[in-house]
Amino acid sequence: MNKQLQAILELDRVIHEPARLMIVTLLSAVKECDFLYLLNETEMNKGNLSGHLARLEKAGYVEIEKTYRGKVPQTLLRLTPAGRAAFDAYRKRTKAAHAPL
Amino acid sequence: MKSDLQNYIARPKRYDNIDGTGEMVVGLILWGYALAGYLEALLPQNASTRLRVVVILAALMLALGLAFGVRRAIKRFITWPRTGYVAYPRRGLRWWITTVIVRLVVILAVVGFAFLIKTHHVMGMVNVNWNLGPKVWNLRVVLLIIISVAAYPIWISRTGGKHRWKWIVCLSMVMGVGILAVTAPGDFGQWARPPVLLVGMLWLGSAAGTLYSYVRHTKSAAPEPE
Repeated sequence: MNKQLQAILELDRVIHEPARLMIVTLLSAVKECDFLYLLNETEMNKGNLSGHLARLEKAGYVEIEKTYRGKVPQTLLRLTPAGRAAFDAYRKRTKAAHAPL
Repeated sequence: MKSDLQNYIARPKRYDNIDGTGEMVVGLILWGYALAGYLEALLPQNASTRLRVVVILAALMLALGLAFGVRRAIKRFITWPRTGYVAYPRRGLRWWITTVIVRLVVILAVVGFAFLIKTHHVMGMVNVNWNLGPKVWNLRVVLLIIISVAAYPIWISRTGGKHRWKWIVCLSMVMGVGILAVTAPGDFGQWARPPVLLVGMLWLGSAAGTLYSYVRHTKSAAPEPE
């Protein structure tokens, strides 16, 4: 099997899903953000976003912290070190998959 | 051309100025600089250099404090409740070392150039007889005006270029400084203050426009369920 096909097959399916890829990409550029920010940036509905975040949390890529900002509840989200490593590996494999034949 | 992924990675950085706070900081710093100049002009002629430095630093610190305080308040009470909270990663040691070195090199180059002009030695090739005296240090004001005007279109393009009215603000800056340069009376030191005030005012006006647009197009979100 050629290297490009191999790279495509090895892509992380958890990150490769378009909605989760969007989430992980945004989280990779920040130290942390809250649920509302991701809701606005991804334009998903709350249920959809929560579902994808739960999947990423289960894979160990995202850390979810429920806290308060004053008296207002806030959900903070961060990419874990494993999540960052997985995203970097995903980007490298994507690049390899797009390499010229 | 940037890939879609790279564009997405750039979005959180652009979000930092979605409410115009970046422009507000620049505008207030410019006003602080102009205020420092006006306060210094009010001091008696025989005021010591130390007093002048204290007055200038006090004006700049006041402007900086106000800029960051107001920015923080806007983020906390307007931006974060509407479109969410973002914390950016701290810059690494390598970035700080590079930034400090670059700034030191620029400062040394400017000071060296000013020293060369003042001592009339330009590599022994050209005998420059410029009697600029202390006015040579006002070159920093000219540089400040040029940089603060030139930075604006770069700022517009880097923050997404969504607000086309900002190009009118840019044009106003260039024309305003040009008109003041031609018509404003007084010596060089006096001339420099109105353009700095004007450019600062336009940066602040741009910030106000951005904030108004942001508030108009967003609404305060309902708090998350516990």
